[in-house]
Amino acid sequence: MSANRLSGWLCSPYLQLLCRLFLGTIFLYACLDKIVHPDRFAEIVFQYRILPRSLIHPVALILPWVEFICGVLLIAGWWVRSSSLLLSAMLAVFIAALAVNAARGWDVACGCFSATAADTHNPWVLILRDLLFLIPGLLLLFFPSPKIVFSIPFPRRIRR
Amino acid sequence: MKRFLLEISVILVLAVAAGLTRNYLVGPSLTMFDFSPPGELTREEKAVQFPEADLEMVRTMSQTPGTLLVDAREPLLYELGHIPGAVNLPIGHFENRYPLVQKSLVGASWIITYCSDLTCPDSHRLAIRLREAGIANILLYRGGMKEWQDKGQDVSK
Repeated sequence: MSANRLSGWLCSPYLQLLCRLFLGTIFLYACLDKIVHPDRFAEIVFQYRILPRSLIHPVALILPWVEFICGVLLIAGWWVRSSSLLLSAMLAVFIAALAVNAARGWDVACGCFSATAADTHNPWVLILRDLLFLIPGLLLLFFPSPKIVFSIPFPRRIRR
Repeated sequence: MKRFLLEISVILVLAVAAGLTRNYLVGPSLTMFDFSPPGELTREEKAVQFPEADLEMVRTMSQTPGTLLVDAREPLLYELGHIPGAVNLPIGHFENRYPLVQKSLVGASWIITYCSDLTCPDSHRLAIRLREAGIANILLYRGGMKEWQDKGQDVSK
């Protein structure tokens, strides 16, 4: 497959739609429990032992809303590159945090899809899963489609 | 690029606004830059100060009439070993157990609370609850049961 053909395939509006819906749905689902229970999510953020205590509550309160807004924007087809940049950056941070704890040999609750301690898995499996989620994020970021399919109508100048 | 930054800024501002609004309008409201892990003393609890007793003071005072030692640990730990003469008032069962020891507490001239070791918050929490209940002259023995045992002091079972 030539480079041009691969690039054309990656920029396909239908592949982009698939990535948008996949990533958007994943993050919308992931943020709900954390938005409802920021106190429990704060405890999970603390367990990672990476952030100073003064930043635990701000992160627990704001991060799920970034996930929510970006998820909505991706599904709606607005500001796709900005949303995917933010989500990809967050995924990269999650991967780094999981890797730090995996290297320490700590089994901490993930806090990925729920704010309960029951959400604990092997950190290497979680890293692999996040790397998988990173693929559509990077694709949306670096191979933007000139045409956006299935986009909720919005004033043209705001839509990307 | 400018548009990109603008969009990201708008998303972040919206997320901050939503997070703060949710925090202050819907409970539980979290204190923005102060996180206390479950079990640890909160900033408000730490602000309540008590004089402290060291091992030597506890040893001397425990043999003095009028001093009452109060073990803040769970009943099972108390039964496995406690400082001689101490009564058990676990912070987790304060409401139920307080009436049982209230008479002794009110009659004592000095109360010394302790729990497991330097890191446990229960003796401090218990001291706060006792002060709220009107008990005065409370001392904290922070070394707790661990220091007591490590220094070879007598243990009652």
